[in-house]
Parts: sequence; structure tokens; C-alpha cells
Amino acid sequence: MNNSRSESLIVNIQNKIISRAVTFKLIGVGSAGSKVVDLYDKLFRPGFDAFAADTDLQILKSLSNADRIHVGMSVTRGLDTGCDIKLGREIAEKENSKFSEICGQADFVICVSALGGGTGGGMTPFLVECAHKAGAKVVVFAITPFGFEGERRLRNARLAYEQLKESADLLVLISNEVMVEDLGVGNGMPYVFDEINHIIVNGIAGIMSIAQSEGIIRVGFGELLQLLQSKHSDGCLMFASASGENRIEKVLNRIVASQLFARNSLSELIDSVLISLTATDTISSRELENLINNLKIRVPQAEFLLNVKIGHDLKTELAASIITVYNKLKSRSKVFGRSELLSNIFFPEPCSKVFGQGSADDQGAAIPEALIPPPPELSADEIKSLVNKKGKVFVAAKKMIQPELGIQIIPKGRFQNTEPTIYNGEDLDVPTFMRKGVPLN
Amino acid sequence: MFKADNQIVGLEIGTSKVCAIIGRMDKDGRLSIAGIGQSVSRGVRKGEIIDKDLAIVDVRNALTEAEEKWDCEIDSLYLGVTGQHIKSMNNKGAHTILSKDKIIRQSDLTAVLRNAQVVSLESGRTIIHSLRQNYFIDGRGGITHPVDLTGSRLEVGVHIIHGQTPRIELPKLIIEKLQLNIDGIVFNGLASSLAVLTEEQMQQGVLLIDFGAGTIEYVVFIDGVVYFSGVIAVGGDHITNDLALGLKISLGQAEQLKIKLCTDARCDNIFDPSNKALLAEIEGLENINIDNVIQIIAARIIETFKIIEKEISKECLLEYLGAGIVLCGGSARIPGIAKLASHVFKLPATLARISSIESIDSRLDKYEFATALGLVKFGAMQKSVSVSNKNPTILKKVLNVFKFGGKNE
Repeated sequence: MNNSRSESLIVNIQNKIISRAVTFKLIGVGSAGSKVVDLYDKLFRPGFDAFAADTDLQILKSLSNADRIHVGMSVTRGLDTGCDIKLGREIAEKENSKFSEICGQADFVICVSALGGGTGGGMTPFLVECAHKAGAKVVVFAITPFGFEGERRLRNARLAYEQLKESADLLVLISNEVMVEDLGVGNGMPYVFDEINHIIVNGIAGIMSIAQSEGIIRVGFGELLQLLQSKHSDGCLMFASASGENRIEKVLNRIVASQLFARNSLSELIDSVLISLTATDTISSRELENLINNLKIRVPQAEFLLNVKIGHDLKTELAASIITVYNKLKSRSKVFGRSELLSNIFFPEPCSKVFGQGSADDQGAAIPEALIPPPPELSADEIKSLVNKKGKVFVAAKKMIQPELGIQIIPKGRFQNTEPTIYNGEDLDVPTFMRKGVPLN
Repeated sequence: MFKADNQIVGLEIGTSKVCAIIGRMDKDGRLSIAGIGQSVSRGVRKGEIIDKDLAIVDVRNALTEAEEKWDCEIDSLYLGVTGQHIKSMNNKGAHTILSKDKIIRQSDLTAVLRNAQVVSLESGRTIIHSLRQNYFIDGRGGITHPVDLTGSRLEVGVHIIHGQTPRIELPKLIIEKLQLNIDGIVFNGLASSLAVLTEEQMQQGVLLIDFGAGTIEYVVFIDGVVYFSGVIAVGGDHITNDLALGLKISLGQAEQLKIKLCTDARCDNIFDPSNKALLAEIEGLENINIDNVIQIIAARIIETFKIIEKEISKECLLEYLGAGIVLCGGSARIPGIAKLASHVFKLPATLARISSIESIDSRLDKYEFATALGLVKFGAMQKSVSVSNKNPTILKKVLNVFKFGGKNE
């Protein structure tokens, strides 16, 4: 009798544990996002749901591993959205039920998309909203386009970025431009895209390894969530792998040489560094200490979170995925353009024009109204309950981050104390070469 | 010292210099320049007085020099005004011809001009000029002399240049403080255009850019009348300031550097990369990065021209500028500036010559004296109009060239 009671207790405890198990979802949006998710599914065979959502049937047909979700059939007839971000958003709103179903019950959602396209740029912000509604934490891996892909794609990316940086818990930006610079400019495009996909996949694996508490040195899921408590941070992804005797030095050199780490102005803004290492069982504590200490010298202000997982079937002996998290508030308080530093790196030339840093024509360009998410539709009862909960309505407002405006000290020389010459919002007393960013030797 | 009846004095209180020019009209109405007095300007920024006391001293010095050198007495003058407060607008007036025969008479012209000058300006603004444009009879445009023509509705356009009253009054106060009379207030851009533009250029359509030290004034003439004008409070001082900040040198060194570049006779276009070696040889520029200098100067000039181009494009006037662009003012001395203007506007651009005054000393035929000479020219035209009341042929001649209306007519 006693035995049967204790057995049922164990079962109950197990059930409780099972019922409390964290639910992960990986969702790729658009063609690029879908391909990454498919690759992740192929390489890592995760024990959680991985979806690929796209409007383009051809792309979905080419995938073989991830669960495929076709959206917007009635609108695009199985084709792409034609780089129309507005259309992407409309389709996502129409397919609300599908997205809500995917995100339902999820605790942690990782979303991968390329922001330049209509599907990726339009649907991803909506998907993030759905995941938030389901109560999940959301990490978005967002790929930004090359400068040469044209102003339209860059504009799409910038618009999506503006929405995502306010909604995603952690937005990890992967700039094609920066990646190419890191990988070597002369490489062929198929190789470059392949490498970028692998880097993202490894980055996802790093996050998932932390989230699933797989490491021998662990960053717990709780710790990861705590990192995301400072909500709406921007992050950048790096990946390095090496084998042999000097594997730590090789990995370290590659990380330090990366564009995102090499720029002092950027590294000053790093708030946390999330390192997810996958290594063979030959990795020693001295090597780990060496790696962390060397990185700490470069970013002394940052908090380091290290997760080490032992993998037996690795191609290289050591693989490191590093996510540098930039504290937005900190970056905003810096003077003279630091607040825009990240976005300027990820959205090169043509995009800066759109948002008022370029010619006077473009001053004041704003996000089209159609792309701003509409206010939530509430039923009469919901409105009533909100009105009654007067005190609680303001709880949400308390959580909002009040942005701090950057103080810009711009030299005006002899015109410092004269009446400024303002034309289209630009102070013409500030030297033209400074305002237009004319490079001087 | 004596005061000649036919003496006309133009005074420009500029950002870099105060310049007084004395002109004389002979019996036939021909204008000649008698002399000039100059002084460094210390109390002016961006074309406007910021230090009254210094400005009084500088004006007195310039006028005294002119009086002493040319043995004359100045008791009244035409005063040039500029500044970013000066704006312009076009207005139209209409008048119905009530006479039975429908013949347009002088009284109808007066009535339609009076109507055209009725504009609503913000409080605290004064009209400096209202310049008549062409007439329309029953919707048919391009009419310059409607008297004795027939029609039932007469319309006329006017170009109104206006500025903030206190800022226009300030230079006037300085002149009054020196016990001098003011014959008239003239917008500097208009004065410059009178000095350097030919009648043909005005008829063909031309844009005059007076690139001064503190401001840039621009005026568009089409069909012989002013259609557009404006001021940008940017000038050669900004180039100096940009150089100082960009090259991390003092303002004095930057000014010297700019002057050296502008006065070196060997190089006619500093923006031409093939001239880089020539520029590097200029004394004092050996340790300066010439590429940076050129980039800083070009960025400022191109930006300024683009602003002007944008303003003129808004009025859809660019395609009417058959005679292209004429540049004057001290900064027009920058070698290659005309080519830059031509590049930005995609129109032919030339440097100004003092064309409207028959006999002029070659020392005065310089871009920076255009405004002061134009003030004298303006005065001469005013006198011609008053003389013409006795002699209608002269009035007709003057009105064919420049059509002034409003307060200053």
C-alpha cells in the first residue's frame, strides 16, 4: 500500500515537472529565415518544434526538415510578397490564428528572419507580438541586407528593425555586410551565404544550449531570462571555431578581429557578453580562463555569461557562439551619435537617407501609418474590466523605458553664439563636411 | 570739400568690409564712379549688425576715407540691407477697366499697381521693395506697356521683398547717428544685379548669386523683371570656419589659407584634381593636406548652391534661365566656383563684370564691389525717374530696363 502511494507521488511529481517543462519554439519567417530553421533542424535535430513560415511555395517545397507553414495563399497565390513589407504585415494579420497557434503555450520563442524582404520584414514584428501575447520571451535573429541590395530592402529592414527593437526581448542583428567583412570580401557568394547560415544556426544552438541547460558550465534558463529582463536590448552575433593546440588563441583572435568587437566605439557599449562554447572533452579550465580573461580586458565593463557544452561529434575541437548585448539606455546616454551607432552599422548608406540623416529631401520621413500596429481590439467586457482595474492599468506604463535623449555637442566655431542659420531643420553653421560625413584624410 | 548736386553715394555695411562708393551723373544722365572709401567691418555677422558702436566707427572710417580721397562731402546715401530675415513673395493685383471704350489709361495702371501691393505680412515686417512684373490684359500675359491698349480686365504681378522692421531700422539708426540722410534702402541682392547684369541677360532669364562673406543673396530675372529673390545666411566666413574646424587651425590661419588659394594666379580651378600639384606649391600650403582643403570648400559651396537650386526649383524657374548664372561677391574669387555652379545647376555660369556703369576704374571692377556699385546705380535710376517727370523719354528708357514699383519707385 505504502509502495503504491509513494509510486503515485513520484508520478505526480513527474507530471508536475513535465507540466512545468519549458516549451521552446523556433520559427523561421520568410525565405531566408525558413532556410536557416531548416538547416538547424537538419544539423541539430532538436527536441522541440521548428517551423518555417513563408508565402513562397517554391521555397517551402525546397525544405525537407522543418515543419512548413504556408501563409497568404489567397493574397500571393503561392508567390513571394514582392518585397512589400505592408503586404507581409497584412498577410500576418490575416493568418493571425495560425501564428497564435504556433506561439500558444510557448515559453521561449526564437524567431529568425531577414528583414529586407516583405515577408520577413512585415511578418516578424507581428509574430513577436503574438508570442508576447502568449507570454513567451522572444529572441529574434534578424539578418539585415547588403547595402547594394537597394534602398527599398534597406528601408524595409530599417522599418522592421524600428518595430522589433521595441518589442523583441533580445534582437540579435546579423549584418550581411559585417559578416562578409569578417569572412573575407573576396569569397564567393554561395560560400558567404552558407557560412552566414551556419553562424546563425550555431548562434541559435548556443542560445538553445543555455535555455535547455545542457552545459557542464551552465548559464541557467533563469539567468538568460534575467539578462532579458532589461528588455528590448540589441545584440550582435559572432561565431568562431578552431582546432589544435592554439585553439583558444585562434578563436580569440577571430572574435577580437570581428568588426563588432574591433570598433572601440561599439565595444564600449557592450553590457553583457553571452558565450556559448561547444568543445570536445579535452577543453581545460585554464583554456577557458584564458579566453574569458582576454575578452574581459577588452570589455571590462561587460558582464560575462559562459555556457560550456561538451560535444563528441564536433568537426572542430572548439566552437564559440558569442552574443554581445548592447544596453540601449547606456548607448543613448552617450554623446554625439552613439545612439545611432548600431543602426548605422547595420543599415548602411541608402537607409540613413530615408531616416533624415541624408539629403534635406528626406527630412522627417516617418514610418508609414499602415505599418504601425493597430491598437488591440478589446471586447466590451475587457474594456470594462480594464476601467475597473484603474490601479493596474498604470502598472504596464511603469515598465516602459523612458528614453533618454542624447546630448549632441557639435562645434560651430565662430558661429557658436550667433543666430543659427537653419534650413530644413539643418544648422548650416555646422561645417558641411561634418553634417554630410565627408571623410577627411 | 563740396557737395555736388549730381552726387550719388552707395553704402554697403558688409560682413567683411564697409564700402562707400561715390558716383556722379552728367547732364546726359550718364553715370561715372568718382571714388571709393573702405573700412574693415568688425561689428557685422551674417550681414547684420551685432555691435552698433563698432559698426558706427567702421562706417565713419569708410565715409571719411571716401570724402578725403575724393574731396567731396557726403550728406546722404543709399543704404544696402541684407540678412536672413529678408524674404520675398509674388503677388498679383487686378483692376476692371470701367471706361466705355475699354482703353487702358495711366490711372488704371496706378489702380492695378495699388491693388497688387496690398499684401498681408506678419506684424513687425516692412516692405523693402515691390517690383512690378509684367501686365496681363484679359488673361493675356507678357505685356510691358498696357497704356492705350484695350481690354476689360488688367492684372499685374509684383515681387515683394520684405524684412523684419527692427533689423532694417538698425543700420538706418547708425546712418542717422552720423548725421547723414538716407536716400533709399535697397536689398543688396537687387543692387548687385543692377550693377552686373545686362539687359539682355535679364530678358533671357538669369540667376544672380552674390556670394558674400556673411550672406548669399540671389535674384532671378525673367523677361526683364524680378521673379524671385532670397537670402541665405551662409557665406565666405562659413568656408573659413569650416577650414578652421576641419584642419584644426586658427580662424586667422584659415582665412589666410583661403585668400592664398583665391589669389594664386596659376590655378584657375582649385576643384580640378589635375591642379593639385600646383596648389601644393603655393607658399604656406606645404604642410596642409590639399585634398582636405578642397573637400571642405567644395562641400560647403555645393551645399549652398543646392539650397538655392532647390528654392528656385520650387518656383519652377530653372528652365527659364536662358542666360544661366552670374556670380559676384567676394567669394566668387574662389577659382573654379563658376564650374561648380555650372555642375550643380546644370546651366552655364559666369563670373560677373560691372556692366551697367559705362566708365569704371579697373580697380573697382571687382566682384566684391558689385553691391556698393549697384547702390549707386540704383540711386542714379531713382534720379533718372525724378528727372523723367520733365522728360518722358528717359522715364520710358528706364522703365524698359527695370520696372520698379511700390515704395521705392
